[in-house]
Amino acid sequence: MSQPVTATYLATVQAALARTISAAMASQTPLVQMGENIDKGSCICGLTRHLPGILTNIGNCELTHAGTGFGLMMNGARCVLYMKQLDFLLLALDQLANTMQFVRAQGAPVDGSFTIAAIVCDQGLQGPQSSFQGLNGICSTVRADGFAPVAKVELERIIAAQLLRPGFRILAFSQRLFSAPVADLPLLWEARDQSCFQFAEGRDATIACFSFTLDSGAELAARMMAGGRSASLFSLHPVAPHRWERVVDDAARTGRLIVFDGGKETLSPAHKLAAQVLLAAPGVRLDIHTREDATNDAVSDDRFAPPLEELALCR
Amino acid sequence: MNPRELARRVLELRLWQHLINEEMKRGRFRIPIHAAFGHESLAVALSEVLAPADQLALTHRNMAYQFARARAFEPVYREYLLDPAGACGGRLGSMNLTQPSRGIVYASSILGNNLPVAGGLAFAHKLRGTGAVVFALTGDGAMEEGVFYETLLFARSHQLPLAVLIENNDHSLASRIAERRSPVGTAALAASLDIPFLPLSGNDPAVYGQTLARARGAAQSGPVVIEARVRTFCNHAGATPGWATDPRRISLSEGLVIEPSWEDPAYGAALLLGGEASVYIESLVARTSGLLAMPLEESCLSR
Repeated sequence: MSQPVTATYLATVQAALARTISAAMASQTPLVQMGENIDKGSCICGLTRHLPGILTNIGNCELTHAGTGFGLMMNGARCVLYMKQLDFLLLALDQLANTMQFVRAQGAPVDGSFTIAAIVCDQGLQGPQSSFQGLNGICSTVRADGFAPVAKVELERIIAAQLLRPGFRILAFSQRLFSAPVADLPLLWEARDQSCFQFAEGRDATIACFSFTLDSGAELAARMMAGGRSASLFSLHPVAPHRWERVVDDAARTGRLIVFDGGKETLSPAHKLAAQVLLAAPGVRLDIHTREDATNDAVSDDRFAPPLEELALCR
Repeated sequence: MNPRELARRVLELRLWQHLINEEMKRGRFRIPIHAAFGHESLAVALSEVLAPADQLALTHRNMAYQFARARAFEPVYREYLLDPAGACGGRLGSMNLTQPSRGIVYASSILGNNLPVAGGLAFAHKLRGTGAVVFALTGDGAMEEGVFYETLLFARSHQLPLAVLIENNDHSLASRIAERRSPVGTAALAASLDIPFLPLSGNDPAVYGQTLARARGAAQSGPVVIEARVRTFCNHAGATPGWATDPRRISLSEGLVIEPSWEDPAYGAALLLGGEASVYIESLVARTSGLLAMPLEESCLSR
């Protein structure tokens, strides 16, 4: 499972964004790309640098930006709202929950699209604030699809398929991984709704990764392989309803489920997955590593750090 | 439009709201409904001013606008009953009811929620160059939300074709403005953002129509704020009277005019129409009452 490292994560995000948006430019549908400093300064940590098309710099009113995105979508336009931190999205929860619910209740499919592309500040200590890592929680609360791609193939395929797809969703990118080598993992299988990507199939364990933990999962799989054992490796995204049958079946086969979740929600999807596995195969051994107990972010390193060596050695 | 025809429409809206109110007294609805007795002139005038591609983003108290745009009682009434034959197939109920084919594309039960959505709708019109204007209804309660200011700032920054129409009824839930906050000078607030401001008062739908037409014209090149003084005669939600000791008295049997003052749009409309008013109402009742299992007393028609 050792991975060739050929590019940075950031460059891959940019390339995939630019390719997707260039394709959209060819259509007649109005495309609005907006964000604070979207083409100024750091361009949202480089996320929006060199994007084609019209970029709209906007001010500091996330609730209004979210509502505007839904209004654009309802009138058939395509809108991408780039956001420096997922924290800021908390200001927009009314729109995400209530306006999204209205859109759903209309019953008819929408032609327009609205995508929020946000950076998650998971790179370490930020102080008591500015490290919100609750994509799963937001998506669960507002019943919207979310994607937190890590591997190169995930980035490319998710951005290409989701960025301008009719309807609403949230894409999240890990700031911790911006300067890290991209994980160029071979894709074995991809769910049609892109809720699940499988990168390896093994005999001895099933590794399921939520919220930017795929790099940890890949490293664990590599360590296990170095020790003469193999693991299946999955990356899961909060797309409702959760369809994790492939992971459940795989865990039932291998007899061991290792779940990583980098989010800080006290209700982690890892627990739901574990419950599904135990219902299907009660004898499966579980190792769940979440940050449910991350209660003192201000003084901790604040990084997701599962005991990989211990997990790799443990049979 | 002919002032007499506008007056007829005001009475039409008043009667239909009365019918809904009577049905609420009977407990016919399973959803919260917010009547808008007193808002009829504004609804009629705005409906007249809308161009075909214009859009409305309403609040929870949207009944007058629903009837004004539908020009019919039954689709709205059936929607309130969550009947599949309703305006939205019984899916949206009252507070979120829309009629897209008649320009009502959004309605929200959350204070201020509709404002940025209206901004987005307007943004799309600007991008396409349709020339259409989006009217966003709001109130003196929603003005307190930060999103009110945010939306104005955003709309002005991007010169969106958005007209924000404030129905200032000095009422939010059960409190008056003076009971809950300091006053806001809306004109000065709009001026501080370099946004044109237009006041409305008096309940004359013809005058309202002229002002709203001016506002619409101005909004084609950037946002406009309009503040209308409105008196809401009914309870916040549900029937009026809503309980045994409820001081508010609204009953169809006591006539369409709730209060003989210019604060009541039906008063001005009835004055303008004179003897024609009762004849017109009788014809409306004859068309409408068959839909309800509701015997209407003759006395209601002549007062």
